[in-house]
Amino acid sequence: MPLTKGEARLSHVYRQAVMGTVVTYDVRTEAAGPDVADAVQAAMRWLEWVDDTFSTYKPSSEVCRWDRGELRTEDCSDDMRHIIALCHSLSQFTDGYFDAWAGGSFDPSGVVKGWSIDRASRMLVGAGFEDHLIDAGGDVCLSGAPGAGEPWTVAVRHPLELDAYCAVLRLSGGSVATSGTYERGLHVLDPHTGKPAQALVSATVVGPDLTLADAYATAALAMGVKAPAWLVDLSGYESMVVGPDGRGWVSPGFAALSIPLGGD
Amino acid sequence: MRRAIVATAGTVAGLAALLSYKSSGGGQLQQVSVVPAGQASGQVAPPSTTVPGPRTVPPSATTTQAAATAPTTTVQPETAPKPTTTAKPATTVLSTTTSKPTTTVPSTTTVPSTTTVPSTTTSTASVTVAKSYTGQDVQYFYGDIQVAITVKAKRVVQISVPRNGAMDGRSQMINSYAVPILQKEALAAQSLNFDVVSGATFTSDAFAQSLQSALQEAGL
Repeated sequence: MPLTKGEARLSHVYRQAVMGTVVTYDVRTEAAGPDVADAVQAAMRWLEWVDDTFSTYKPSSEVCRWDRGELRTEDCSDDMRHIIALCHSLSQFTDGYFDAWAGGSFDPSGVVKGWSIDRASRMLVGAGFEDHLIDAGGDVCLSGAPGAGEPWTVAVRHPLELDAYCAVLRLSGGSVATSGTYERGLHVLDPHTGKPAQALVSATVVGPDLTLADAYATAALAMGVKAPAWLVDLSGYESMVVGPDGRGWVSPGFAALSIPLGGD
Repeated sequence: MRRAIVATAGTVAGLAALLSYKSSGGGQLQQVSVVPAGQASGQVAPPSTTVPGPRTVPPSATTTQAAATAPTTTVQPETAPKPTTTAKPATTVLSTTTSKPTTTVPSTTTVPSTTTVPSTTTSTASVTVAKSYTGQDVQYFYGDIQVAITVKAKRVVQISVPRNGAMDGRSQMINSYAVPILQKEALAAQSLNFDVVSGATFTSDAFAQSLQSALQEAGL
């Protein structure tokens, strides 16, 4: 069906290098370009503040000062204290498989990215741009719709095949996070063994909050073969994991989000 | 079984071609493009009825997005405990070793199956009686495992794992299946465009960088 006049929307795409990745904003609106730019710029400033505050690579960051004991928890910013609490509860909730302290020092980047993108998305909504997506290096936050009455279409990269995909999702909001051992080498450790988790090559989690989807995907990767049993119990979050042999598992609700693609 | 890609599904604004990553050199507000949504692909919107109903599935996504103004109160995993006693759809399949046809194709409607059962057999399963066999409990690296198969007309129609020690002792079916490999060209040929890719992008970035340096090295 051809687009009618009322349905036509412009896609405003912006990109920002921040938090060690590239963040892409795709705002769908009929509003004037400068208004979109203002809203996106505010979101970009927010992410830059987050980067300055939570970067483990910047010795002067709040997270580094807190980790070195130079800053008491009660003297931290509200956001910092929230992130610390979130890391504690996620560690508990994931049976220790999400562990911000795994590397010996506090590294909350596994939740900070999703959390800050979730808030950037709400900033865009607050500015009147409900229909947008934010892609933070393959972790995607979706809001509204790309066009009238349409869901967003999200392809999931195949972990073993360059330039191929292993699922295509149709979503009317929420988020998609994929964690993979192929992402930065074997960067996900099983906190219980201290060794790289290798039983899975990728985990994709779909759900309302990118904060949690991202953390769950990271935890699932560390769980390895135990991941399906844990993921299947999550309420509101659907998932897909792929092993090194190219075989996968999906949660019961995942297929309902996917375009049927078959598979031998 | 390979189902045909739904040819009419998904032509939402084909921005993917415009989203090729390039390193942004720190520009404060780097706008990449402004295009009419859908124009890039040149496709028209598909009938939404051909696609499973994703709108209903992330149930709290819209309310979360709308209501959440303070992140400090929105993300509290401890308030959303795992429903350990409910909603384990796949597990019910496994306890059965009967020959009822309904148990032989338990979850094909929700989960891609490992089996090669054509979907048509689900409705004609009563013609042939299926029988299940359970294998020995075997120790392996992650614990112990026990595999069951369902055979019908001399064909294995289902493989399940009623016991897997690695799964925390819970009876958990591993709906393992061959993950489809969807090449870009194949998707494009089926008019399956997408708005964004979820995945670890660093591989492709690293690949692109490596490729670029190799090309330079080769003087190309």
